[in-house]
Amino acid sequence: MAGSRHYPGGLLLAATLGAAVLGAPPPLPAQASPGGTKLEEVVITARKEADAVLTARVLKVLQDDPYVYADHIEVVTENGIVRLQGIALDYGDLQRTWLLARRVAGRRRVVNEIEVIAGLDQ
Amino acid sequence: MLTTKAPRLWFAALAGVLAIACYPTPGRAADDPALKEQIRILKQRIDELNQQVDALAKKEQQDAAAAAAAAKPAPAPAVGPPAEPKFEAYAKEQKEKGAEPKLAAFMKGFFGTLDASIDYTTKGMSDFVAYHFGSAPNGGPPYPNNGPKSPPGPFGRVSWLASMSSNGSNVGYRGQQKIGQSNVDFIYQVSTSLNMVAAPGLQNTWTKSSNTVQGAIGLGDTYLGLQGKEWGKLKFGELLMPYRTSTDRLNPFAGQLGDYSTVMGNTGGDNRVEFGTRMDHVVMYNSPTWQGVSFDAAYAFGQNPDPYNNITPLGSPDCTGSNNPGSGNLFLNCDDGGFNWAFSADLKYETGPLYLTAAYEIHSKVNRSSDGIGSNSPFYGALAPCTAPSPSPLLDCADFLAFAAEFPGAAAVSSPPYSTAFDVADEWAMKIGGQYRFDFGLTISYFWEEMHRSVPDVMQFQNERQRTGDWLALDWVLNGGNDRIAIGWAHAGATPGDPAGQHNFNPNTLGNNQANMYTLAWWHKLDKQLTYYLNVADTANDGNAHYDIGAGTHGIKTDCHDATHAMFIDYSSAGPTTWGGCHPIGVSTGLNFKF
Repeated sequence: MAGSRHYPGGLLLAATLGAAVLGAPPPLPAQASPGGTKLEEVVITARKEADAVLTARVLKVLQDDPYVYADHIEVVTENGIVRLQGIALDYGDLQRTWLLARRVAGRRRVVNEIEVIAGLDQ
Repeated sequence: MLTTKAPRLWFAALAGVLAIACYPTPGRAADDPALKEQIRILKQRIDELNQQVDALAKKEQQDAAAAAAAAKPAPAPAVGPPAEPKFEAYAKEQKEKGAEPKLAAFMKGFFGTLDASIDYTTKGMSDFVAYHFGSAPNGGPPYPNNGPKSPPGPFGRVSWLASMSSNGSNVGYRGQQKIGQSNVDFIYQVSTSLNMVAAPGLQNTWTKSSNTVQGAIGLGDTYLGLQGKEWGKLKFGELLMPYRTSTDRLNPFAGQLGDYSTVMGNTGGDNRVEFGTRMDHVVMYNSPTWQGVSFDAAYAFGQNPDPYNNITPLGSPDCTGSNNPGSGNLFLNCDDGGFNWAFSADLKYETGPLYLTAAYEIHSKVNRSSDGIGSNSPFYGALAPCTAPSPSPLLDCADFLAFAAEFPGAAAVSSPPYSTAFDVADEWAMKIGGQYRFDFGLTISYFWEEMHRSVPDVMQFQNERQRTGDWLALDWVLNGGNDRIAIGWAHAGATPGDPAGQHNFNPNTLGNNQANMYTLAWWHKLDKQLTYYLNVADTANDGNAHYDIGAGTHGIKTDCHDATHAMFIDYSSAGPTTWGGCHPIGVSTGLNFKF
């Protein structure tokens, strides 16, 4: 990195913050200085807040959509990765849910773990 | 706890440090567009984080103001409203705490689908002609044809017929709870099917006999198990096998006439789906997803005391492979697909819009000895009968002669089954396929399948359980989710033996036993839960194939059976006659409600 030779601490900070916002948690020093500990807390808290915001946005889009029945669908976001869980009762809802979540998540990854219960053999 | 000032300062400092640390030399930045893009993304993310910190600060100020207001002594009510009922007060308290009321949490566990349709279908075989059997020379074709039999054609209403059908309707309840202080959850689900257009009960018709009670709790995926975030799920119960669930999402026509189960996983045609079904007494493992990769594995206990699996398993109402003993006017055995244990597994990979899967399933020692009963195949007719000095070793003459001694009249117009020494064999299936979802709403699905029955060469002439298959579907969500259309094509490859060998065998079309099913559907959502649909399906069978429409989750199947319900009416079959080469076509329209 261009600036790292002038600001040795900048490399760690940039890597920490950059990795945090890009969704891949970096290994933080186990025994950091008091200032470092605060930095870790800030980054983790910010990451959790960002996850919570993203979860809320996906849920709201699903709730606001006039055609997706998402009452049994759960959204969990961890480290920027959106996981769709629970059950869908037809394939149209599965496809539409994934599509909407993907639009909201943008560049972040959406993992489909929805179980489809589309009807019993008669 | 995240305070408001500290993060703001920290992020300001971080942003400054980052900007300095990442400040590029002019030459390098100009030469490296990837670096520029990375910097742009980082700056964008920093802006987002700053916005979130601002939002948190605002929220904290609002909370502080609310707390200050709450600290003021409340004015004493002069004449207050009547006391709030306890339950409502409790629900309100829970809601204010942010916790979901227990009743709401309990109700959320219920799920289900109610579906009813009106169908107009034809079997497409009203002009068919029956042929004599037993006129082929040893060794097979060429063989003479003695002309049509009497009665020459299918019996009953085999052309267009209107009907009402309940399709895949079900209700279930599922839930989970943490076990003590561990990281393991207890999970459970019970479900049952519902018949929306007729009384519930057993399925005992002239073509099928089943002791499984439709409408009783326990029909459907019913299990209990354990779940851990790190290691997945372990389930015990009655479950759809991974071979089925791995490609469920590739089947937009579930519950419709054009359900891909009409051909895929369906070894012999007709209504049963041998591979891709729910089994009793199953232990299943579902892995978590690692970098998009996951797998499932399941084992079904055979628990059948009979060495040839010719009786119902312990604890099951029906034979494995569906049906109860004697279904279709057969002998009182499980000789139409009964098997011992089964194993099923899949491997799945999903990244973004791409989904890939492979699956495998094996059924051990499947008893197909009824495939020879009432055979209309010239091959079968060429076998030395049980009354001959040296009867064919392929035939189960011991049982048949005992039957003939007790029921000479019936035996005179029926034929012996194959010996279990030759016609009990493993069957396995494998498939590989995938799906791609475009952001504009189009989804393309395809998979290829191979099914195999491990019988010796001398039995291949009647092996209708071995072939390949293809499924292709295009599914398009339109009008912002209001409409969805899909088209599908299923292809059944040729089998070594003839699927019509035991039915209305047409000697002029030997080896012609491939089939194609074409289907088209439209779904129109009336709201989130209610959907109107219209489906058309057409199965074109070669001369001796007998695939239907509606197999799987559609309630009423339109198959190649005629209405024969008296025994031996065509002198070659003990039950309803299946007419190879039929051409089922149908249209179905209905309503589907989810909750």
